[in-house]
Amino acid sequence: MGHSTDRDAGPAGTAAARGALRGPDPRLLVVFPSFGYDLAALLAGVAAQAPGVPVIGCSTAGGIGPGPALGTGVVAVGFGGAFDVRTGHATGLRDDPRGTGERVATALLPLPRTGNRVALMLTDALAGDQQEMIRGAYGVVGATVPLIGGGAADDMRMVTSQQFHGTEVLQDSVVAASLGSDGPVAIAVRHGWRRYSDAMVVTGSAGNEVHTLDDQPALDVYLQRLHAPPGIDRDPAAFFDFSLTRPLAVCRRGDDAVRHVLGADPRTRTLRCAGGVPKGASAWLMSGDAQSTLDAADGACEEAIGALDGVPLQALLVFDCAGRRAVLGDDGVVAERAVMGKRVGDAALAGFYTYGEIARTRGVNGFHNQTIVAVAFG
Amino acid sequence: MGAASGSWSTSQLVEFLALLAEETDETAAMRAAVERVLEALDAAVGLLVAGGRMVTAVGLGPDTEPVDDLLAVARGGPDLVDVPGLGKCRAATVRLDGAGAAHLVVARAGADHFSADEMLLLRGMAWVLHLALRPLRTLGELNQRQRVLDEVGRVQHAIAQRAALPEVLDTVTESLLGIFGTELSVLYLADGDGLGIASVSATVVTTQSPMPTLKLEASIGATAYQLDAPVRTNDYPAQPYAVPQLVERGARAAMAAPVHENGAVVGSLVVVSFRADHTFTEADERTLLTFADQVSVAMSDARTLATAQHAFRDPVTGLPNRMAFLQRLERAVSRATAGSRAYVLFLDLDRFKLVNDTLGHAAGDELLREIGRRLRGCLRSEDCLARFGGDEFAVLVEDTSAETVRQLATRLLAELATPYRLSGEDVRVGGSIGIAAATRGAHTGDVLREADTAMYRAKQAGGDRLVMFEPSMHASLVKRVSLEADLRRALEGDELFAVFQPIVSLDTGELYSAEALARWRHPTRGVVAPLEFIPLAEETGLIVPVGRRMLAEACAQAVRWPGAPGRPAPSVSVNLSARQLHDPDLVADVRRVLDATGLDPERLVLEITESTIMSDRANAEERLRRIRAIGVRLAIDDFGTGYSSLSYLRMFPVDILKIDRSFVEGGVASRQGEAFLRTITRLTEALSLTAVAEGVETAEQARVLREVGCGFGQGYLFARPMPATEFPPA
Repeated sequence: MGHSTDRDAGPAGTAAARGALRGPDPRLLVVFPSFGYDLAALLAGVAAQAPGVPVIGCSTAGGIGPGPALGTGVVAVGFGGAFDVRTGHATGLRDDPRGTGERVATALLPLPRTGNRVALMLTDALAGDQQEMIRGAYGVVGATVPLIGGGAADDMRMVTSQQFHGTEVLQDSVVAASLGSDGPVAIAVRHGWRRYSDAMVVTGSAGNEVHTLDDQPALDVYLQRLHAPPGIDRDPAAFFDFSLTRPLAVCRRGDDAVRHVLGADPRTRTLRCAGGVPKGASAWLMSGDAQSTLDAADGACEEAIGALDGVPLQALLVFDCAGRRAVLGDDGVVAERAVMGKRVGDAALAGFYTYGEIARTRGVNGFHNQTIVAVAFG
Repeated sequence: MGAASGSWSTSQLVEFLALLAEETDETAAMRAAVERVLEALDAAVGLLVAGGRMVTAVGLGPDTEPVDDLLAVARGGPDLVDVPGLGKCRAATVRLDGAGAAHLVVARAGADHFSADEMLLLRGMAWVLHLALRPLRTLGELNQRQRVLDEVGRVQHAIAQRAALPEVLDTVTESLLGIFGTELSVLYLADGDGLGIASVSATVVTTQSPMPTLKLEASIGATAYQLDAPVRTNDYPAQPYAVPQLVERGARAAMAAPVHENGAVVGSLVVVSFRADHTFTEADERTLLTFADQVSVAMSDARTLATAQHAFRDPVTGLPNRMAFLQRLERAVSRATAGSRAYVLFLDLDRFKLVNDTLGHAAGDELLREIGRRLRGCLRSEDCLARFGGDEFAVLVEDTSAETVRQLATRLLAELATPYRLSGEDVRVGGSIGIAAATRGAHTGDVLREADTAMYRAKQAGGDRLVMFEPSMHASLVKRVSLEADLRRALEGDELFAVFQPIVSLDTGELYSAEALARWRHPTRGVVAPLEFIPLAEETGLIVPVGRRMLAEACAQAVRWPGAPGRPAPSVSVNLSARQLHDPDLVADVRRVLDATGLDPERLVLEITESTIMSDRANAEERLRRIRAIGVRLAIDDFGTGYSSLSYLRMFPVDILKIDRSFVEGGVASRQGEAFLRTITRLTEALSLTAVAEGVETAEQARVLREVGCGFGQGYLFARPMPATEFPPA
C-alpha cells in the first residue's frame, strides 16, 4: 500500500510504488492516480521501482488511500505471493463493447485454479455500453469468477479517461487482472439513496433512454418533481451538476437499481441514463444526503469484511461512485475515509471515485451507478 | 408491487423480442436470449438444450466441468444442482414451445426457489425466443428471409416504441402486403358478437369497401378462428368459406392464421391474393403465423401497460391511488423533522352519493374528475393528491405548518363548495376534512387513521368543515372501539332494557301512552346514557338489532298494561332509526313481534324523525305505508327540528306529531314562540293529527300548551322514564 501527493508525476509514481511493494514476492501492482498526471512519466517512475511486476490502473476522480481524496495524488496497492495473477487489456470498447469484454477476459485465461478468484476490471466508462462489455467478459470467464472494478474518471470533466497496463497508456479500453487466492474474497454493494418521488411507471423507454414516465415526457417529469431551476435542460453543464445527485431507480427483484441520469435531450424531452431503464418498470426519483451516503459506505465495508468469516482482512478495495462524492462534498470525503478506516484497521485500503462500478456477484448484471463496491481480501 | 412487477415482465418480453429481432444469426440470437434471461432472473448459468444436447450455454466458464446435472434438469431431473465453483444452485426449466424438444434451463446460486412471477417471465421469454427463432429457422431463401425479418422488425419496433395498438395492428397488415405481394390483408378480432375488422390493408383501390361486411359468419378468417389452426387455399373460389363478393372480384388464393392472447384464440389474420398465378406455400403459412404471433405480443403488451398504470393510479380521476399515496407518505414520515412536518388531509365528500344515485354513475365519475382537477388546482406541484376510492380523497403536504395546512383545507372546502354543472344541472357537494400530522418515524397506518378520525369528527359535526386531529380524539376513539365491542356483547346478553316515559293528557293528566327508551346496564360502567351508545349503534349498524330488541320488549310489556275502566289501555311508542327504516326486514319484524306478543297493532306507535324519512323518501314512504296497513300508528318525532315542512305530512301516513322540546321552551319565552306553537297545533288539527309536546318540564309550559290547544304532553313535569316494573304508575 503506497501513496504520494507529489504533483510531479515521476516521483509520485516512484513513491507510491515503493510503498505498495514493501511485501515480499510482488505479483501485481494496481495504481490509481488522480486525473491530470503525465501518465508516461508516472508509469516510468512505477516501473523503475517494480521491474517485472505487472501493473494495471486508471485515472480517477480521486484516489482513496491512506488519506482522503482531496487533491492531486496517487494511490497504489500491491498483491504479493499469496495471489495467482494474470493481467490483460483490450481496446475498441466504444465500437464493440461485447467483443472488448470477451477479448480482455480471454487474456486472463487460464484462470487461477485457487479456491477463490475474482477478475478486477478497470474500464473506460465514457466509451460504450458497459453492461454489454460485462456480458462479453462473463461469457468467457463464466459464473464462478466474480467481476469487480470501476470506471476510470477524469475528475468530473466527463470528457475522457485513461487506463494503463504496464507502461502502456490506453483509452477506449478495459484493463483487467485475475486474482486467485486460497484466502477468502468477499464483495459488498451498497448505494445509500432513498426514494424521493411517487412511484412512476416507465411508459416509454429504449435501452438507456427514458422517453416517458407516467405517459408524460420524462425530462419534464424529472425537472418538475425535482424543482429544477428554469432553463437547466438547455444548459448541459448545469444539468449534469444537477442530475449528479438526483438519480433514478428502477425496482429489481425488490431492490432499487440506481441509474445515474447522464443527460437530457431538450428537444425530445428524454433522459439519458447510465444503465437500462426497462419499459413498464416502477421507477422512482432518488435523493441522498451525506449521512445516507456515509451509512452506505460503512455498511459496504462492514458487510465485506464481515463475510470473511473471521479470517483477518489483508486489504480492502473500494470503488465508490463520483456521484456519491458530489453528495458528500469535501468534508464528507474526509468523513467517509474515516468511516472506512475504522472498519479496515491496520489492513491496506485502496480505491478510487469511479464513473460506474463493477460488481458481478450473482447473475449477469454487474454494472452499477451511484454505488459503492467494497472487496475484502482475507 | 405485484402488479407493477408483473407488468414489467411483459415489458421485458417486448424489449427482449426487439433485441432478438436485431439478430440475424440463430446462434447469436440464442446466446443473446439466454443472457437476457439470466439478467432478468438474476441467474448465473443458462443453457439451451435440444434433443438432450447443450446447444448454447452462458455462465459456464472455460474450466467448469460439463454439467450433466443441469442437462438432467431439462429431462425433469432434480432442480437443486451442484455447479462446480458456485455451489448449490436452484435450477428451473421450461420448454421453448408447446410441443418441441428444446428446453431452456437456468440456474441461480442458492437454494431459493424461483417465484411464480419469475417462472411466468421465464415461460414468456422462452415463448418469445421460440417466436424469434421461428422465422430464422424456417425461411430458406435468403432474400425472402431478410424481407420477413425487416418487416417483423418493423412491427416489433412499433410495439417496442409503444405505438398505439391500432397503429401496430396496421403495421402488421401493411407488412403482410409487402411480404406476400398480395392485394388484401385483414386482421379480425372477436368483439363479443362475432369477428370484427381490427385492421385492413389493401392495394386494390375500388369504389367499394374492400371487404363486403364487417361481420363475417363464414370466411377463411372465421374458419381459422373456429379451428384455432391455420387455413390455406390456392383455390379460393371453390372453398365453402369463400365470400361471394371477393370471388366476384377475382380472389384466387388466401390463407388465415389464428391470433392468440394469453393462450386463447381471439381472432385471425388473413391474406388474400387476387393474382391468377399466385400460390401460398407452407413456408408462407409459417410466415403468416409469425405475424399472428406479433399481434398477440402487441395485444398483451397494450393490456399490461394499462394494468401497470392502474397499479398506482385511480382509473377514474387519473390521480395516484391509495397504494401510491401510502408509499409517498412513508417517505414523508422518514423525512419529517421537528421543525418541518408533513400533514395528511383526509377528505370525504358530503352528498356525493346523492349525485351518483340521481344523475347516474357516469355523472358521478365526471364529478369526481372535476373535483380532482379543482383540488389539484389548490395544491403545490410537490403536494400529493390521491383518490382512495368512493368519495374519499387524501392530500399529503410536506414542509409546512399547522396554520398553513388549515388555510389550505379551508381553501379546498371553498373550492369544493362552488356548484358544479353536470348533465345540465347545478350540483352542489361539500366535504369534511380531517387533518393529521405525520411526525418523523410515525406509522403511516396510524397517521391515516388519525386523519380519518378527525374527518369523522368533521362529518359528525355536520360536514363542510375541517377538524384537526387531537390525541384526545384517539382516546375517545379507543373508548368508542371498546364500547362497540361491549355493545355487541350486550346484545347477546340481557344488558339492554327498556324504560317507559308516560305521555299524558294535558287536560286531564290521564295516562295516554308511553315512549319506550333504551337503556344499557353495563357490567362495569353501570347504566350507560343513551346519548353515549345510541349514536354509536347508529354508526355501526348495531341500531338495527338494538331497535329490534326494544320493539320486542316494548310490545311484550305493553300487552300487560291494563286499561283504566272505560278507556283503552295505553299505547306504546318505539323509536325507529334511519337504518331500521332502510332495513328490508323491518315490516316483517314488526309483524312478527306483534304476532309473538299478541299486542293490538293500534297500540303500537313507531316514532320517526323528519330527517330519517327524508334520507330515503321513496323507500320510506313505501315501508311506512305497509306498516300503517298493519294498523300500527306512526309519529313524527322531534317535529320542527328537521325540514319543518308540513307538506310531507300529507304524503306520509302519519298519525301523531311530537313537538320538539325547543318549541315548548320557546312557547313560554316569547309571544312569538307562543304564536308558533299555536300555528303548529292548529295545523295538526287541520290534518287530523294528534299533537304531543315533548320535554314538558314546568307547569307554565303545560299551561301554554293547553291554551294553544295541544292535547298531550311528555316530560319530567309528569314523570321520568321508569322501569317496566313500575309502569303504569299508580
